Amino acid sequence: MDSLIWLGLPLKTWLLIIIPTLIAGIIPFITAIIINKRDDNNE
Amino acid sequence: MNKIFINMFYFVFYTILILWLGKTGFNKTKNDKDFYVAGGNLGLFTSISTFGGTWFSVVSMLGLTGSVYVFGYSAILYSVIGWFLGAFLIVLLASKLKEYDIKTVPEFFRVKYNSKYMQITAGLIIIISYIFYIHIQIRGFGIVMSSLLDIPYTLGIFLIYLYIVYTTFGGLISVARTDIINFLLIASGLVLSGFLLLKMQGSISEMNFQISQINSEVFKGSEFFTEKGSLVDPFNNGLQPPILLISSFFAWGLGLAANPQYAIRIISAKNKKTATMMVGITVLILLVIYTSVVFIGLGARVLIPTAEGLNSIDEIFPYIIDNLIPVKFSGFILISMIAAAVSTSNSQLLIFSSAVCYDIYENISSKKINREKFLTINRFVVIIGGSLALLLALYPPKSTLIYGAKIWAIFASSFLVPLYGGVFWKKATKKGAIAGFTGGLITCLIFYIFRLGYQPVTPITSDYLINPALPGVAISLLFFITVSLKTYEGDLKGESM
Repeated sequence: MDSLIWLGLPLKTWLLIIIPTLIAGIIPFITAIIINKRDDNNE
Repeated sequence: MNKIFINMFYFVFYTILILWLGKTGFNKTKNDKDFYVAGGNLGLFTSISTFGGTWFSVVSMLGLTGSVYVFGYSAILYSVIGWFLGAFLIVLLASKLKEYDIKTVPEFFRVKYNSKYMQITAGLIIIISYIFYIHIQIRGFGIVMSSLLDIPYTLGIFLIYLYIVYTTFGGLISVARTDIINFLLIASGLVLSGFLLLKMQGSISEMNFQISQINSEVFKGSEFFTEKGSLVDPFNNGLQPPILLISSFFAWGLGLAANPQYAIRIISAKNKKTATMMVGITVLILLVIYTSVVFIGLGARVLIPTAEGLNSIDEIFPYIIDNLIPVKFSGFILISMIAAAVSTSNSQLLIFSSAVCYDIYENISSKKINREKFLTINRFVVIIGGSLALLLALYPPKSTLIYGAKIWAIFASSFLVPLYGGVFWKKATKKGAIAGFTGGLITCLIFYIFRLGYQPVTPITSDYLINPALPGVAISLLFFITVSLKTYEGDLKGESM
């Protein structure tokens, strides 16, 4: 079995599941902020 | 105190809340714009509640919790990441779609491409897909009701009329108002369950260590075994191979991005800022909720490595509540499941009604329709749609998560490319849109009819190794771009004449 790195999970689980999930969860919010800021600047 | 009595108390409390909140829509709905999109005037808080309530369906609640219990962390890769990436596309869409004065998503196709054919066909796709989708919500509701009140499944699914039809009668104003309480219940019920299950493990590390050691049958007598280490493996030790996960993204992620039940929330938000922030903030809340779902599914697997007396993945969460959650909390968590089923199915039933009445009936009818009578017809269609879904729920599928992906694949293959292409690509033409829409849909249907790429994944589930959404979206995109480029010059000449 793969060696566990943090919180009892293997490295590939962090790289393929945990980190991508966190990034994918934050992206819509950051995109919304960027779009609104751009619109505010254009007005 | 008697468990059924406590559950009945929660059930009555929920019913009163829904009756009270739902009645607002009856008084405030004056026309079809109010009925379909709440007058296009929903504020940020209500928009987040209704977007989140619609998003978090029984598929997420029962299907995903059960899938995490059975497949471990790979279930997240299979679904949640795709959903969140789909949400990212919806934020991009929100920044542009708000500029169109429309009441339904199929109407976008008529306005943008001047195509009644596309509006009517899109309406038909919604009717068929949503009936099948609502029936899995009803199934979830039935499972929960029979567990909550100790009544037969069939009686449980009949009770859904009380909620779905009532809340849908008041249009989106009622749906959005009741979604405030529904989303609150969903979030608090799941976070509470996750917290309780995690507390039983001691720590996250301990829970992960324990699940990595599990080597047992999933359901007693199913002959489906979990290998040691597979629950923490991203591909479940090969049981869920990368191709299955990648192609599932096309169904879940792109299907979500093209699904009218989310796009309609863009139209109902009061402005562009509200629409984009609605999606961004809801997904952050969902991140917390899905983390709780993981704790529930994995924590339960540690405590009960082999579940007894179950036939499907969807029965796992109610089983967890029955066996692991203290009685004083179980009724509360069970009504949060009802909230998940109600908040999604009433939104879908409303879109079903708009597809029948607005996108199809009004387009093919030569008579001028009285607007008051039109609202009555819409409400009548709500009853018809609910009844059809109810009948289908008598013969439910084994896994809502896999079944849901099949329906989403149809939206990804047909709606996605003409919708996003129409909003973002200047060279998109009517002929290109029709070719992409029809080509993608037919490709997806061919994969379904001939079961191309279909195979049993485990003794308890079967799925498409190559989800039909993948070839569907590819063909749709190919046709859309090729035909648009060929007809773009001609369309320009036509416009200038």
